[in-house]
Amino acid sequence: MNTPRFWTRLLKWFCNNSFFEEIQGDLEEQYHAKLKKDGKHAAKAFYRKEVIFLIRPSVIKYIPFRRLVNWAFVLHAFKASFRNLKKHRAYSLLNIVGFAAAISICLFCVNAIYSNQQLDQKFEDKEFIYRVNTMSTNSLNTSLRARTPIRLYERIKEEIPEAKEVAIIQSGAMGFEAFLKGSKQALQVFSVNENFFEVLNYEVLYGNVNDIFKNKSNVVITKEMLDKYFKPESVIGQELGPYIISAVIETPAKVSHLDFDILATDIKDKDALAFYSSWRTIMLQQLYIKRYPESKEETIQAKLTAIAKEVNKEFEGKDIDLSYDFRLEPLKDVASSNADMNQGTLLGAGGQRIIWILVAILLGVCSFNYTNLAMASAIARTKEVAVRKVMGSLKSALVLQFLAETIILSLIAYLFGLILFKWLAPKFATFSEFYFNTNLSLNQVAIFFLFTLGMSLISGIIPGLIFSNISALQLFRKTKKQGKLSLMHLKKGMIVIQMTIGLFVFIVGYFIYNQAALISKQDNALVNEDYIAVQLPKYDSANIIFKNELQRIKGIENVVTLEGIPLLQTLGATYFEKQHNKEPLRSGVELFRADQNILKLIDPHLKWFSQKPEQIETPFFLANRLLIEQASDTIKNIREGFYSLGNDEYLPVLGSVDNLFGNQAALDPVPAAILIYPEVNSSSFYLELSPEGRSETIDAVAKLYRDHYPGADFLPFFLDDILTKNLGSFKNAIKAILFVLSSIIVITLMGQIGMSMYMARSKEKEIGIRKVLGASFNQIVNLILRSTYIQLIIGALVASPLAYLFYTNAGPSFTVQMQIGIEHFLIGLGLFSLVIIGLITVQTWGTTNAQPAETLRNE
Amino acid sequence: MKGTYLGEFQELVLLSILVLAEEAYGVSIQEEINQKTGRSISRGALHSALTRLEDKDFIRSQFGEATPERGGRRKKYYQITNLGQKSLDEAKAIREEYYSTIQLKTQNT
Repeated sequence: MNTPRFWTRLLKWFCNNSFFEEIQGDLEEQYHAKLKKDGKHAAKAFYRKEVIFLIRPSVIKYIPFRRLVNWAFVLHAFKASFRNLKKHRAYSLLNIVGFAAAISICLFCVNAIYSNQQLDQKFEDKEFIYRVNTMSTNSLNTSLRARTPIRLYERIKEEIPEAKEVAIIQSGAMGFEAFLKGSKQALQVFSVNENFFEVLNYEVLYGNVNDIFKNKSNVVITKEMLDKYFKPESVIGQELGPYIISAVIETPAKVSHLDFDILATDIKDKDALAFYSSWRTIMLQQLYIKRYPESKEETIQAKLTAIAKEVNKEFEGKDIDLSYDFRLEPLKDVASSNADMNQGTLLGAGGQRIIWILVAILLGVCSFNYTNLAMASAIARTKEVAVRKVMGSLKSALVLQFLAETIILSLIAYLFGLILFKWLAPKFATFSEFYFNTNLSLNQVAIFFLFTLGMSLISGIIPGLIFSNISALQLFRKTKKQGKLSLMHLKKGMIVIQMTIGLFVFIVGYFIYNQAALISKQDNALVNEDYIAVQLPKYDSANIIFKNELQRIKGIENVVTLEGIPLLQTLGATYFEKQHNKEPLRSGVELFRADQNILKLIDPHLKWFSQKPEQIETPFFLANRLLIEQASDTIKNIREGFYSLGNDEYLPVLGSVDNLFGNQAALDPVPAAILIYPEVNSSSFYLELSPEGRSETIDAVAKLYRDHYPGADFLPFFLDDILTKNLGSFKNAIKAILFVLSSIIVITLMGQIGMSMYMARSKEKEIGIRKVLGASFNQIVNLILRSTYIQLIIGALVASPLAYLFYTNAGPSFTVQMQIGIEHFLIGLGLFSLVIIGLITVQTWGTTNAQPAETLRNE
Repeated sequence: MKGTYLGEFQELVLLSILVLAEEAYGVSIQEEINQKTGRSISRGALHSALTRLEDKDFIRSQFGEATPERGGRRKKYYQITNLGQKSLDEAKAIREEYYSTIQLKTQNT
């Protein structure tokens, strides 16, 4: 048995030639002795150890550094590469632009995430500041919200002395509108308490922020507002609707996770309207605690948990399917928090994850493109390589040649990518609503440099190694060897893979675009621009009088007594039991209670299972699609069964309501129902207004409200505005995802352009001959497109089912779920094919317009 | 004597060469030292010592026969020179002087 080959070769490589015979002989003699005595493994281990211990100065041969590498050859390789790249300008430009664009986009994405992490760093004692989130659980789901019930503030002040300061931010469900520079502007108003500036000490630019606590009319505006609408010298004391500006602070979105236009002081406390002060309302308040340095986070958390336990006991006593857990979140984690309603940042934790995945896909596609084009370029130079092999070029020389080209191209592209980023970043930062860091850190530059280098090494080494292992004769041969993988097979395979990836991304992007459009213009059964909700200060018998007077106001077409306001508050996840098998629905149901006037409101969305009842005498349910699916079983269909909310009253489901959602605007659809009573007494009303004279009607309602409840603020809820607001962050996320997907598609298409360039060039002579024989442009284009059609078909057959599976399994559930139909695939495939065919046709144009004499001259 | 300094390991190598006489080559020297001292020395350490000894002219070498076990490679045999022998004698004399001094002291106390 011979000595281990690797270690013997290693020894031969480093050992001084004058010692080698003696040392290798001794080692071999000892190896064979050990083999006989102790076996193969011991002998190999011994040999390995001895070779390693021979790595010492007295044994190693001396190699002058300059002879380690043949620098003249390396220089020549780079010179040849530059010449080649200059010769094939279009190919070089394509690679450079494609890669530079990919690097630039990735830098934007990475910097957006990095910028996110820089938020909230400027606040004093930031390590002692926490936000309180609410983990709210019911039978339907569990969700973490960056909000708390209003009453929690008082409990913290009474029971948690470790909290040095407690800042409140309350934002109304509705925004605020003011006329500025001749047009109506929607502005975000935050109501804050006196501790706000002690916890979050934004830089004050003009005026005195504490003036807002002396007079409720005084407000603070942001620098962004100042720059848009006012002049610094006259801003203090200026009127802004019902407010007076008393101070200006730095723009919050540039330094923190919060985003607002105005700070006011209209705080609601535990004595506010029941709707606001209820423990079940958690949409309206954000709460921040700054603890004493000597107090512990664990102590405060334990006390918050104890408060939550008491609140949960209250819920249990009232049979409410809801429980809370209040959680502290350190300020440093807030910008990328997982909590819903995390405001002011473009990228929460979920969004960042998606961006990282898209960056990885983008870099993967870009690398694949690059390698593909490098392969195509190499294949186009088969004869050149064959001649060099015949003239005695070493393997290393061939590999070095390809490597030099790919390294030069990728480094130039990397530099361009950096320059592109530096040029565009300040413009993006100016227009962006969010903080965007325009500087690149050394880490970012280094990581992308290493990626570029790695990619160029792989895409240079692969063709180099392939060519160096093929004999010169085979390279000259035009005919393919049967049964063996040839270069042409490899090239075609890579084109098909590239086409498939492009199609996959295009189809998924098309699905996302359509789904987002569906959500944006969703036809919500309970939301319309003509509907408003009004909440009365208290629930008593006077509500009926109020309702009767409402019905008499001109311009009000319908008044529905409704418990639960869509998008803000349902009655919670309700127990929903089937009478025929006493089994409750596993997920519960989000419930609205209304009187029969709601039937007119939801009529366009309503489908009765049988005939509409003439008179409503007993209550009944109307269910949404998800509830119908979940309640129907093998024993009884939902229209045959009776259902209860946990009492002894079992009621039928008489119809379905399309587009009935609970609190969710975009994601996580839930089973929902409306329980219709002949009469309902409630403190909330849903008004359907006539489109004409809407503002006069609203004024009349306001007057009626103030007459009945003097001193109470009239705050109607405009449901369509609330829906738009709720969809805001969803739309931002979709925009970011579609932007990156589009970049991936563009870069894939650039790869296709490159490949089509090579196809056109490789058929130059054939095209020349056909032109001479009288072929038309269309005939020539069809010749080139023949293989493209096949690639598109193969790509479509693979990409379509993959895209469908990916979208249906990996995507979230939406409130309005797009039903993927054959038309989506046909349109997606059709559009992509048109683009590809167009690109190739344009590429072919140049070749077909060339003079045949020129293209055939070199023959 | 100037220039005849001998390290402990080098002394062992020289002694092994003397003991092995005409059979002193890399493998046998290594085995001899391993056996006599109970220390396992590597071929690399031995090579360094042999190289230094040869540079100091304490030993000389010549190639011997090739064998199949050595992959057809020749053995390199080592012999001690007069200078090497002299340095060994000096090292031995110094040790003996130290030991007699210690013995005297022990007897006197």
